[in-house]
Amino acid sequence: MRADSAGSRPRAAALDPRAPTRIRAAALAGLAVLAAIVPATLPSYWLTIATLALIYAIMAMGLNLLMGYTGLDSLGQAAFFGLGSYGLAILLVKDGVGWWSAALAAVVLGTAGAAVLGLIAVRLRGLYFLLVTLAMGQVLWGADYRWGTFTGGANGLELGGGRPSPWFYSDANFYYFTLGIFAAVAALVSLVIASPFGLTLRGIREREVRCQTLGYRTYIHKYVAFILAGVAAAVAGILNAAYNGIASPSDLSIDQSFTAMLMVILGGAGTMAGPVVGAVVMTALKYELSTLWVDYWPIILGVIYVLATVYLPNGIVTGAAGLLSRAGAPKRAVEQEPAGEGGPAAGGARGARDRRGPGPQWTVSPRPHAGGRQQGLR
Amino acid sequence: MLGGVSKAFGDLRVLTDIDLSVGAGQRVGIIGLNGAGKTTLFHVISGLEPPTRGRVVLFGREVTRTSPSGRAALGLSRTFQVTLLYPRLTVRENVEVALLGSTYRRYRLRLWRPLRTHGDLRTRSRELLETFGLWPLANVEVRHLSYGHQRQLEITLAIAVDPALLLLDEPTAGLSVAEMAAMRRLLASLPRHLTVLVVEHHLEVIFELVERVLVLHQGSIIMDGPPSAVRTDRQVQDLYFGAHAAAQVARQTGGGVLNADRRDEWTKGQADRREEWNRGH
Repeated sequence: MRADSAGSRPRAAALDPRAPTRIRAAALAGLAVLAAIVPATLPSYWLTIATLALIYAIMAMGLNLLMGYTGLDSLGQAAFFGLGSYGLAILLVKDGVGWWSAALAAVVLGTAGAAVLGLIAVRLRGLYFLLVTLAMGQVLWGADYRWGTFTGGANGLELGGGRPSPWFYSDANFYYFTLGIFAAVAALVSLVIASPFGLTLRGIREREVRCQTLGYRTYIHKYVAFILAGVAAAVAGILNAAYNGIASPSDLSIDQSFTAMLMVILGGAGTMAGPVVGAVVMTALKYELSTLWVDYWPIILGVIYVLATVYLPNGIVTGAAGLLSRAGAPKRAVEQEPAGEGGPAAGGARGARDRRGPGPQWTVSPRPHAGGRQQGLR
Repeated sequence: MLGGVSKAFGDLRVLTDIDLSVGAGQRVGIIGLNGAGKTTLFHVISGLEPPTRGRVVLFGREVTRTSPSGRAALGLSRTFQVTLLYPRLTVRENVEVALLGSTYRRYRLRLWRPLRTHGDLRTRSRELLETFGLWPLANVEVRHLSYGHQRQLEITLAIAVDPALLLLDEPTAGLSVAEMAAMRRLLASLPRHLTVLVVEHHLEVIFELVERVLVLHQGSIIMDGPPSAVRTDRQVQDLYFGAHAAAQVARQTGGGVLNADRRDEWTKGQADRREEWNRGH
């Protein structure tokens, strides 16, 4: 048990916690600059990919709270993505509501949807949770077709523009708008991960039974995580509809849920950066490859899934961190380390250090870094 | 505390009409052979297994249908025979999960402030780790800990929730000699006001810790009394030594009744125990 989970993550706790924080800040600043110059430097085709990648990253970060931190694998994110996009579309087109009010109402709709469906879903775990979330997405997808007069059926619902104001019709401006929302969601998610609540989620992921005997009503925690993931998906759905100018049935399809899940797994579940990396890689692949071989995307998706599961079971971020630490660059590895795993642990060491003052510090170094493959094992 | 509790898994009757009452602050040891129903008894008390029949009353409240978390909220805490920790959390995070489930439950749904800014919680987790000698390992992920340290952390978590009643399920199982000594010190340092039920195979550990011993055999309590009485009881002696003798024969003939780690403790403690018993007679 200890053996099979070992080796997947380098021992952030064993390393000096201060340097990674600085490096992490520097890396974040660098990424922010890169993200900011995308519209000026890349052709519009890549700007589209970047915008969509950010939108999907928002959904994937939310799903990661559920999958990576709480240990609940959901295949129903399309339901909330669709509630967001169709909520916006219906309010804009059918009811003539103003954009910002419609967007806000669509977020509320997605939240309410997650609150209702979550009541059922979080009572289950494992495969049953997966199947019930899948079924929820499928029910909404079916409803979309059934009430075609209301939702536009297979044609979807055109928003007739669908962006808040003329300023947003510049793709560069919309990209910055999306980037801003992405940054806000990322900040909120990392705050949740570092919060007491975030720790309880990881506790539930690791051993739900123990949490119960320690006095937790774990379903409340799972329920809150489920709602947070739903809200993120709804926000992504709204942005997606506004960007594409349409709410389409594909928003609600199983493909959508599956893509979100794959982004989390491919990037690295339970790491802060993982879902973002996954979203960027998957979106870029999807657009690049599907221009080469139109209609083959589902097949390619399947192949990626198989390859990722076999060769990168813990995701790109974790895999890269492992490679870097094996190559003798442990600090870089920690920078790649998830906030959830490295963050609180590093924070703990820092807190302890602060109180102890500058005296000699104990360091915990279970084993040398050149541990090779078996590094987790001792 | 337990009224006529029975538990059966299908046709297998594990507990039969257990009546047991434990006063506040009492320390009770439960001994018995493997399969006597000791762990099942703990599961029934802590709510992980519903009893087939009978009632469970904790702190004067009927809790037969109360969930494990509900019973924990009343002040019940337990350890597990198989360590049930959070392997990919650090030692300190393990303790903090326990604190967030109990003393600091008011923080547990806080999403908007980093954990490390909660000074009182952080201080308490540090205190606990220092008390239990685990502070130097605070930032190590639990899956990298030695087994002995994991057992100690197991008890630290159970204590961290500030319980009124503590159930310890084989705290010394599988420990090395040195780890055993550390564990015995830890057990001796448990706060006096705590009501403790401890299942244990090492009789010397039981006898130095408790003032009352229950002997569980095939799902029934066959003996209930102070350690001195249990120690000199003919039936218990027959049970333990009789079973041991039988097992030894089985082992010699390749029957293999005992598992390896149990074999050690028998051969180790046997001489002492016999001497003690003889002195008692």
